[in-house]
Amino acid sequence: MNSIIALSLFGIANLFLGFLNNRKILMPATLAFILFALGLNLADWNTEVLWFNNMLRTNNLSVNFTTVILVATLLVVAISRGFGDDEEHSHPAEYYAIMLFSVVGAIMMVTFENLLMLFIGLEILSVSMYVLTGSDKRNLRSNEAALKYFLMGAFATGILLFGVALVYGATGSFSIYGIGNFVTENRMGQSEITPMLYVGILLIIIGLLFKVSAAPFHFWTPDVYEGAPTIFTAFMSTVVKTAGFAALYRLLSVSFVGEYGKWVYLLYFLCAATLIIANITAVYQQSFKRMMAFSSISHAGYLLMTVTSNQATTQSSILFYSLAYSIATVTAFAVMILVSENKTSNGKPDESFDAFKGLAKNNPLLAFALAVSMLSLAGIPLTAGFWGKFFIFSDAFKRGLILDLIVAVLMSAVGVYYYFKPIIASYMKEGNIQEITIKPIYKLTLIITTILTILLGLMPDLVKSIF
Amino acid sequence: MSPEITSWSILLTPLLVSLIIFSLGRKHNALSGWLSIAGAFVNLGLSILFFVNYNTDLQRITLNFNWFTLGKDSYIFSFLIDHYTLTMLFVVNVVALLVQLFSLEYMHHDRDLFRYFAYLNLFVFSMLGIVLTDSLFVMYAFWELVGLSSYLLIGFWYESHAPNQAAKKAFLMNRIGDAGFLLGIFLAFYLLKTNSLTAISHLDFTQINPTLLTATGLLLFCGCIGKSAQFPLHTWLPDAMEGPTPVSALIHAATMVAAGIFMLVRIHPVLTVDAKIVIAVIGTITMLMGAFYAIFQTDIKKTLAYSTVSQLGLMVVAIALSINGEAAFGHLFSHAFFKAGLFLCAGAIIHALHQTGEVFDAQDMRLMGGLAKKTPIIFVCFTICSAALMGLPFTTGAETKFSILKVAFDFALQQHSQWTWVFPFAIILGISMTAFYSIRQILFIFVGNFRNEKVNISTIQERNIFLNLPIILLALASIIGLGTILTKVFLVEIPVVSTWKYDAISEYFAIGLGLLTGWLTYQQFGIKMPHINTMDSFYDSIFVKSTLSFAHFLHTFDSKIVDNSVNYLAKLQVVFAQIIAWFDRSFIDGIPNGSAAIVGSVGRVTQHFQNGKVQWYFVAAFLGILSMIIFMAF
Amino acid sequence: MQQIPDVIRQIPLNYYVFFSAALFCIGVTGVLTRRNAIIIFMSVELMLNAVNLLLAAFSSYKADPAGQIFVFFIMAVAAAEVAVGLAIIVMIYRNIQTIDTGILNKLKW
Repeated sequence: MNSIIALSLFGIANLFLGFLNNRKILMPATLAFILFALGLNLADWNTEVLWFNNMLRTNNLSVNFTTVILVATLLVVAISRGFGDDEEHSHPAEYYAIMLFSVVGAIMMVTFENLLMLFIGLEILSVSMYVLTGSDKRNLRSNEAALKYFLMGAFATGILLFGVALVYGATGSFSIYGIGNFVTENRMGQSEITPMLYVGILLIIIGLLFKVSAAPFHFWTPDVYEGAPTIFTAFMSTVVKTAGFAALYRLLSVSFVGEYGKWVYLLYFLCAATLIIANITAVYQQSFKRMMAFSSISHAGYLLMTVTSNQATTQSSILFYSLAYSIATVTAFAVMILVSENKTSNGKPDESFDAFKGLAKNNPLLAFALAVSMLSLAGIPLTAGFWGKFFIFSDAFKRGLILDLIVAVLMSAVGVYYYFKPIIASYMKEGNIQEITIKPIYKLTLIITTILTILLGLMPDLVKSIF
Repeated sequence: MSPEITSWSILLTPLLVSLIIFSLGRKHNALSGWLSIAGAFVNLGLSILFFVNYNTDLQRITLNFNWFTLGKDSYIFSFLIDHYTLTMLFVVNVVALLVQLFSLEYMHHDRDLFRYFAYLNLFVFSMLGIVLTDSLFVMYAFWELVGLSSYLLIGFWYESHAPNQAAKKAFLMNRIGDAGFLLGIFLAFYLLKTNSLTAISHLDFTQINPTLLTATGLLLFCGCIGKSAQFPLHTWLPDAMEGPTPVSALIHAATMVAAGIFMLVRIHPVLTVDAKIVIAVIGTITMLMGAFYAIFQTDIKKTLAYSTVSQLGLMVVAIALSINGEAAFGHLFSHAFFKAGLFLCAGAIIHALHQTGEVFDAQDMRLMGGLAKKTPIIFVCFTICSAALMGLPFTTGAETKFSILKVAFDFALQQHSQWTWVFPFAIILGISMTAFYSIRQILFIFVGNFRNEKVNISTIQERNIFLNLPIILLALASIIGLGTILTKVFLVEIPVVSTWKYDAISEYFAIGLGLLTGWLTYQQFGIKMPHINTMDSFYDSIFVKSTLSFAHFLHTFDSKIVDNSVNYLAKLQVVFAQIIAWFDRSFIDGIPNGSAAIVGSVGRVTQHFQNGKVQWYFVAAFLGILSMIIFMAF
Repeated sequence: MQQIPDVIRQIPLNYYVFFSAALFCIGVTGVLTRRNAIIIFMSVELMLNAVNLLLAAFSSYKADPAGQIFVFFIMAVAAAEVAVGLAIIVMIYRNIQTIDTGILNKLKW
């Protein structure tokens, strides 16, 4: 909770730092701010407090989710660079500030106790992301991505709000526990449940599915991920996704758990559909960035599976998976940023798989970091991603979601195919990539993420037992 | 040394060596080979020590190490040390050591030698993991590692196209099997509430739903289908010949394909009668098909590859028909030595031909002949190993093959059902075919006149100790003497309830028939070889006609097939597009005009929905919402 | 003097629900059928206003101010969204002199 206040203030402070002529101070300052917020967040451990008239609740669950979000942000900020290098990006302070503000939104989405806060958190996050997506102002692709993201996002917000209104009409409350109690009591037959509630639940779920990009609401994702500047793509695919799933999980497990039988089949099929569509389409991609977009959709499918299974372990599975996924994704994007900027085709950064050809020869660290992150995303054993998938599959298994499980196992086999494309390109193809100079902080981030991925693969209990 | 320390050090030595070699890099190419051999030597010593100390009366030792604990579930990393483990440790390490010795000379010109030895050690490490572990989950992890390292090794010469394709094929084929294997592990865990192999072997299976148990056994067998190249996923193994020859020797003898058989031996208690029948049928098909294809190969390594497929089929049949995996394991043991010997001989021949400096296909047996005079050591060793492969008397192969046959006859006699006699007689047919292609191979390579005009035969010579020593040792291990000692020490007697009195006679008759016809066809037709379609082309013709079959999935990755099916899908889309004019606009780019380039970029159905128009995204989402509301209403 | 909630309550609740649903559907239809980014945007605003109306009606009927407070937040957030949205549209117009979403399909497949 304190982290929300702190980050809001830091965001404003960042804007003021922008007035300084020394732009080099911005990134270290932002890193320090985030670390400070992380400390404040961890200080809330083992305390359960309701804030602002039952609007927000901090407990261990929210602290955990906030930690994952902040760690992902920290990594993304650490690999951010080039803001302010040219006229186009002449306002680096604003970007960092907006990133901090959007993290505030994300934290509100994981601590909300009232649907009002969910809505506001979602909007803070989304509106910031629209701006960041379109931050490459003269690049038409970035423009297009921003517009698409904005239109789809606004549409999704409308649907979510209509759902909230209907649920409010049916239950008379915005509080997630109030709604939950109403739903559970009525299950006991104390009064009738109107179809309004069902439609409301459905629309809220749909609104959130838009944000986490589950099929068939995923269409914006590949375009937006491809068009946005890569650093913000990394941010989007980690922070937004984690926050979205935390919100979805909290709503489903607290408010709508009484009607489990109603929505479970829906998510059951959507999960299978998401997995199939994302993985099959990813196979045909030529662009690494776009492949990562479909990969992100497919991971939404896996996470949806554990949300659907609604086990006691679900929250820790989501957390572990989000962490493993975020770390691997940031690493992959970090390598991609370096490689694509180094190699240009037609004056634009080359984002296809071909850009990675021969990477291992002169840049063994980059190639290795890329390989580890890809293995982790593919769920190969002895990486963090394997355990993420393992925990999720065992959750689904306990609930008996056999169809989803079979689809998921088959699709993760398909996944190996496209995740190996960059590895093959970097290790087994000839190419001429000279040694790329890497800034120390960048290098350090890559090393840390790679070690973390392997460490979590060897000893998942390090983190999983905390969650 | 305590068993804990020994097993850990056996497991970790190759990994350590691999890491050291990797970190030393290309500058220390020359050192890497010796380092790797030293590691293998230490490991072999440890394995023998381990065997001597702990192989007492089929005793099982389970060593548990707490890996990590989550809530109330604790995840244990455990070793299972029994007769099978100890024997396999010996086999893997011996073959690995000899293969590395051989590689010293065979690969010495390669500029990425360090990478080769590092991968080789990684490969051995993963195989040792499979051999040592007690948990199916951990086995799966190493199983994947074996897949990965074989992928790296088969595609070692990644500059050329064919090894790359072969590596990819091997990896993907294996992944298909692995997906089944993983499902099987989950199902086994769900049914049996444990993934420990020790616990599984002590379980009482009468309480468990037999249908599900059968399904479990078959799903686990899927892993074996992939790894041990059983029908219908066997096609990767012959393609894997694109890798360096010593790697083929390792893959075919001790690692990789042995993993599938070993796993099957381990999970033997889970297999129900129904599952065993299916497995036996698949094994029989694999055995006969492999032998059949082996007859028509002209490539020296491909013949051996198909012969491995056939022998693996034989082992699978043996597991399915016997009450324990002992017979199959015995054959796995002897097969490891003579098949490694055969591959190394083939490697030595190829090497000798390459040394002449001429450019030609050094693996084509039609361009060989009369090499017995020039390479006498290889000739003798190859013949000995071939004899063991055929099952001729005084070889280890004879003994282990005969025990499989006895088991099969025992099974047929026990079942009181006529059709079960199919299995022993299929084995006899397989034995006959093996004799047929083996004798032809020897005749092709070593007898007659040298048939390659480009090369002067006098330039061919064998002289390198590193090439010859491993071959000689492997040949000795396959024949009476050293071979007998090995089998006596490592293998146990196989109990048979009833025997068919003509079993030995029929086997020798089959071998004799195979030898005779092989010799006669050589006399009659010489090196002429009809072209025969293998499963690969069979797959092709199936897929072009029907994209709906499951098998489509297997080969989706084959670019040719992809284009074919894409064509098909694209045609469907045209029909669709004509019906709905609105749809037409979004598909307009994709109407196929036969040009491969356009078909390549279009036709992917799911991609089509991603047409970049935000309006269409809204429509899709809206349709999604509508269908969800309808779904919920009902 | 009559209280405003009483005035609202003179009309049955169902009327409000149906009216908002109709308004919402008109908004959705607009989003689905128009290609001009501004009009799509306006349609989204229509959807939000349908929600506002519904919340106000429920709030009055339940005599619970929470719904009306939610309306204020929606209005405030919608204003922020308008600012960003219009900025994006202006940015695009500056680059390609049109805001037809049908033309913006460089990112696909």
